[in-house]
Amino acid sequence: MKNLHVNFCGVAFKNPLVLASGVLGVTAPSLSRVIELGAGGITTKSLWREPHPGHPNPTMFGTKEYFMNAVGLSDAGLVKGVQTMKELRERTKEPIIANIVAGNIQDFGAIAEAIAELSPDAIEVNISCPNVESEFGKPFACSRIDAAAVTKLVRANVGDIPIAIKLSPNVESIVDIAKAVVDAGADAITAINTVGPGMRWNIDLRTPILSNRVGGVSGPAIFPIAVKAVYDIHAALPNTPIIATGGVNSGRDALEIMMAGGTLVGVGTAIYYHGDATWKKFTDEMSQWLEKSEFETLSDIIGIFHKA
Amino acid sequence: MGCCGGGCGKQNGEETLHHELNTEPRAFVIDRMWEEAENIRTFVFKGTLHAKPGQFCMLWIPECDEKPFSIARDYDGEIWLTICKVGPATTRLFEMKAGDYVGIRGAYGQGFSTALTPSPSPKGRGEHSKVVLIGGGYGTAPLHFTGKCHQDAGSDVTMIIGARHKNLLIWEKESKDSGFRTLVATNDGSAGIQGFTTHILEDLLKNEAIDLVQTCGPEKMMRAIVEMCIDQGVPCEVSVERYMKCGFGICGQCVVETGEKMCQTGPVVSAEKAMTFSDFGVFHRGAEGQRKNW
Repeated sequence: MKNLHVNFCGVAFKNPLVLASGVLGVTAPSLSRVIELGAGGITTKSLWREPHPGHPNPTMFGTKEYFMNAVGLSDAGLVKGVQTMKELRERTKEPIIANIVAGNIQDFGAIAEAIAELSPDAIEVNISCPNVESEFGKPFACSRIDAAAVTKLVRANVGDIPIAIKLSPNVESIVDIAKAVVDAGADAITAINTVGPGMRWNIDLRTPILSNRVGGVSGPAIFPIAVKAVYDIHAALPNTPIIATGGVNSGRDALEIMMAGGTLVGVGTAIYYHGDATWKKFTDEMSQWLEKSEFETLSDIIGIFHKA
Repeated sequence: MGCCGGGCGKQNGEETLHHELNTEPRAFVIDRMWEEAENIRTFVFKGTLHAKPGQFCMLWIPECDEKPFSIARDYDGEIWLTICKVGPATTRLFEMKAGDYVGIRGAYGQGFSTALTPSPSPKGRGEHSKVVLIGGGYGTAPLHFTGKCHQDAGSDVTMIIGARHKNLLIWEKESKDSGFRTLVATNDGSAGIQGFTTHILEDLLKNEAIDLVQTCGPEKMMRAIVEMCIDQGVPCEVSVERYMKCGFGICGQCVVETGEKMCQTGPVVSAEKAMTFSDFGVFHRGAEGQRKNW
C-alpha cells in the first residue's frame, strides 16, 4: 500500500491535506479534532498581536457553486494565541502551521517573533486578506515592495522556522509577487487567498448580505483560478514549495492542484460541502488513485503537468 | 393543525448535506409581536423554516447584526421567536414594528427528540410516555413547541418553568392552556414554589415514573438536571448554548472541548454526551474564542 506522505520544507506530513486558515480555527480542541478526522496538518486562524474584533454577522454564506466570507480576521490577540498554540501542541504531534496577520509591517515582525517562540512547524504570513481593506487599505500582497518588506522582517525574526507567504489572486501578476517574496527570504508560497472581493445582495431587503458589504469568494467556483496561479508560480519558481489552496473540493481536485505544483493542499470551504467526512473522503480518493497509478510516492506527482 | 403535521425538520442523526441548507438569509416580514415579560417579546413571522423543536435560526437585522435564536414555534404557517433584549442587535429589533423586514436563515442543528420511540418503559408503565420539560429563564422559549409535539404523539407533558421573579416568567399561560401540567419555581417565591426548577424535578423523580426529561436554560441548572437524571437512570436531553456565528459548521466558534460543533452536533444533545464536554456547566467562549465562566 502506497502512502500519502509528503515533505514540506523539511517537515513530514502524513498526507498533504492541511486545514486552511480561518476555518474551525477558534480553539485548540476544534483544530485537533480536524487532525483526528484525518487532516495531515492544520493552519491556525490568523493570529493578531492585539485583540481584533472582526465584522458583525452575517459574515459568511454558501451556495452550491461558491462561498463568500468577510469574517474580518476576528481574534482575541497574542495571549489567547499563545494559549491555543500550547494547548494544540499538547493535543497533537502532527504539523501545526501558525498563520499570522498584522496591520503594519512592524507588527508583522512582532507577532512573528512572539509566535516563533512557540516553535510551530511553519509560519504562514497572511498579507492577502481582502476583507479588511476598509480598515487597512490594499493588502500588502498587492505590492511587490510591501510584500517583500513584510517577508524580510518576518524572516529575520523567526530563526529557522519555514515561512510561507499567503498571496492574493487579485493582482496583476501573482508570479511577480511570488518572486519578490522568495527573493526576500520566503521558503514557500501559499496560493491563493480568496478571490474578489465579491458582492451579493438580498433583493427583498435591498441590503448586501455580508455586513462588510463585500467578501472573499472561495469554494468550487474559484478552483480553476487557484490551479492556474499554482501552475504559474511553480513554472516560475520550481524549487519553491507551494501550499495550494482555493476551491479544492475532492481528492481528485487535490491531486490535480498538486500536479500543477502544490506540495501541500489547503482545504477549507470543502468542509461546508462535505462536513466532518471531508478528510477521509478526500484521502481515500487520493489513495485509491495513487494505488492504481504508476507513481511510487505522492511526491512524484508534484508539478508533473510541467513535464507533460 | 397539529404541530408535527406542520412538517418538523429532519430527525436527529439524519445527515443534512451542508449545501442543501439555505445559508443565504431570506426576507421575512414581522407580522405581529407582544410582550412576554420584562424585556422579553415574541415576534411572529409568516412562513416556515420546517423546524423541529430545539433547533435554532439566525435572525438578521439588516445593517446591524445577525444573532442565533431558538425557535419557539414553527407550525400553522407561522414562525415564533421569543427574544430577550440583551444587546445592540436585540435593542434595534425591539425598535422595529409590524410590517418591517428582517432576514432569517435556518433551521439549524439538532432538536429535541419528540417522536418518542415506544420502547418498553423501564418502569413498566402504560402506553403513553411521560415527558418532563424544564425551562429556566428565556430558555423556556422552545419548550412549549416541544411539548406540543409530544402531546401530538400522545405523551403526557409536564412543564417546569423557572425564573428569578414572577415578572420574568414566560410561556406559563400557553403551557396551562395547552393542557400541560405546569409547575413554577421563582427565586423569590413571587410565583410557584420559592426555589429552583431542580427542587421540583427532584420531587417528581422521587415520586413518579418519568420517561424523558428535556431542558433548556442556564447551563448550571442544566448540569444539575443532567446529574440528577443520570443518577436516576432517566433519559435526558439538554440544549447546549454556545456562541453561534455561522450556524453551519465552518467558523468553529461553537465548539465544545471535545472539538464537536454545537451548531451541528447540538444544540440538543443527550445528558451522557453533555457530560463528555469538560466545559459543560463550567465555561463557554466569547466572540473571539476567549473563555468565559458560567
